[in-house]
Amino acid sequence: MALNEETSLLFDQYLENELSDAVTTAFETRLSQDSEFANDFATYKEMRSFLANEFSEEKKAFASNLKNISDAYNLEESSTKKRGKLIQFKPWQLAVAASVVLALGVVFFNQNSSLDYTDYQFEERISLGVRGDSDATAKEAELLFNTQEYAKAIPQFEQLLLQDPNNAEVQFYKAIAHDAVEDFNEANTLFLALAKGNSAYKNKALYYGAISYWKQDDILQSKQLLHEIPENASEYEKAQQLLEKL
Amino acid sequence: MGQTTVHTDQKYIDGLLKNDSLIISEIYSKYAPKVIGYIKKNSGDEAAAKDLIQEVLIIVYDQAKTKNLQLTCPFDAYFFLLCKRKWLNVLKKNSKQRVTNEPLGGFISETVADHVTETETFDTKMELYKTVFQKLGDTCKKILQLSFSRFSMEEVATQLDISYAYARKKKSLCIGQLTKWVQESTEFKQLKEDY
Repeated sequence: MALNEETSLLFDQYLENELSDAVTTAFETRLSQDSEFANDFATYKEMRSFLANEFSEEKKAFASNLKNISDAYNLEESSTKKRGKLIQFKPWQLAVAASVVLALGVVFFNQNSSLDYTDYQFEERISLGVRGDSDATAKEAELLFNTQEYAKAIPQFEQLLLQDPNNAEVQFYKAIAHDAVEDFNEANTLFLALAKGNSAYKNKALYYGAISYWKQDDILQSKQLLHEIPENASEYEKAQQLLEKL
Repeated sequence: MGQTTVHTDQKYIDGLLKNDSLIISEIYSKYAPKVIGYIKKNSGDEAAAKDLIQEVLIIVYDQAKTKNLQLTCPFDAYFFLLCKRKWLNVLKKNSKQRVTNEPLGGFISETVADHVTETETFDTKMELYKTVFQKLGDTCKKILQLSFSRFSMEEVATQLDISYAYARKKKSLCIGQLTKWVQESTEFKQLKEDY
């Protein structure tokens, strides 16, 4: 007997407890005596519970949480987790915690010889907007920077910042120059200040700040900065690629 | 089953059911490396392994949710074997690569083997159910999707601009249709014969 419409309706009413006591008893008697009826009912019930789970909000929430945890998981860095550090994080901190703890595993050793921060450093020629009195200084800074005379470019940038302290562009190039001469304290301070701000150089600072930390063998900090680059930033894609490699 | 008492590793199953991030992370940190290692040695990469792990954990979740899965063996052995066998199936399907699909048994304990077989059967059924669902007309699909998510039948009826009574009736009939298709499918008959 193929399952007909009437039986489907009956199954549903039974599962929803909508049948009268008498009909329920008759239904259950039939279940125990009619194996085909019982088989149909078992499959109907299983289908119903499949659907109830498949489209439930709980399953959606589970699948999306699982995906987040999977995305944050990274095998090469997982050895650190064996120390149990992850346990210390609260669930809501998990995504952050995972990336932090995971990153610890590779902080000091980057043995992947094909990967070199020098391939990722800032290599653009710069061109500073010319503004009044700063004209000569700006030209000088530009020239020194573009000829890789970074140590000499720094005082020029400082001059420019005296006149225009909030100039993010100059702050950014100055950070690059400090990084180039391995004056990391100064570089880190400038990159982080820009990264926390809201200027047009925010994402560039996150990206090149990350490269600088990489150069300093601080992969943890490097990754954190890369992680903060938003999806709509032009640096997003190369940041993601680098994150995969680091 | 070789053993009937619930294993302490049931905490992983319960953790999945509760969507407990700490437990899920623990599963990753403890058990994912072995799976990833295995897949990498067998024509796969880490990304493929992570996808597979997600799939397997979702199946385990589904089984726990709808079938009250009670683990009577270590999670490690159960989970690894599920992943391994699923990966071998992926390889078989996707390419002509030769893989030696070891039969269940051998060095595997009876309890683990039983659990894995049960979950695999469950998985096959779920795949079948998903396939037949796709054959439904749009109204059936919508009624089922909406009524089993967060909407009441009244809300579903309003959304689809149909009467409450019709929505209710249609819902039972749609499930009935699915049941019929499943029963008629060769996969279903096969499952019944095998297990």
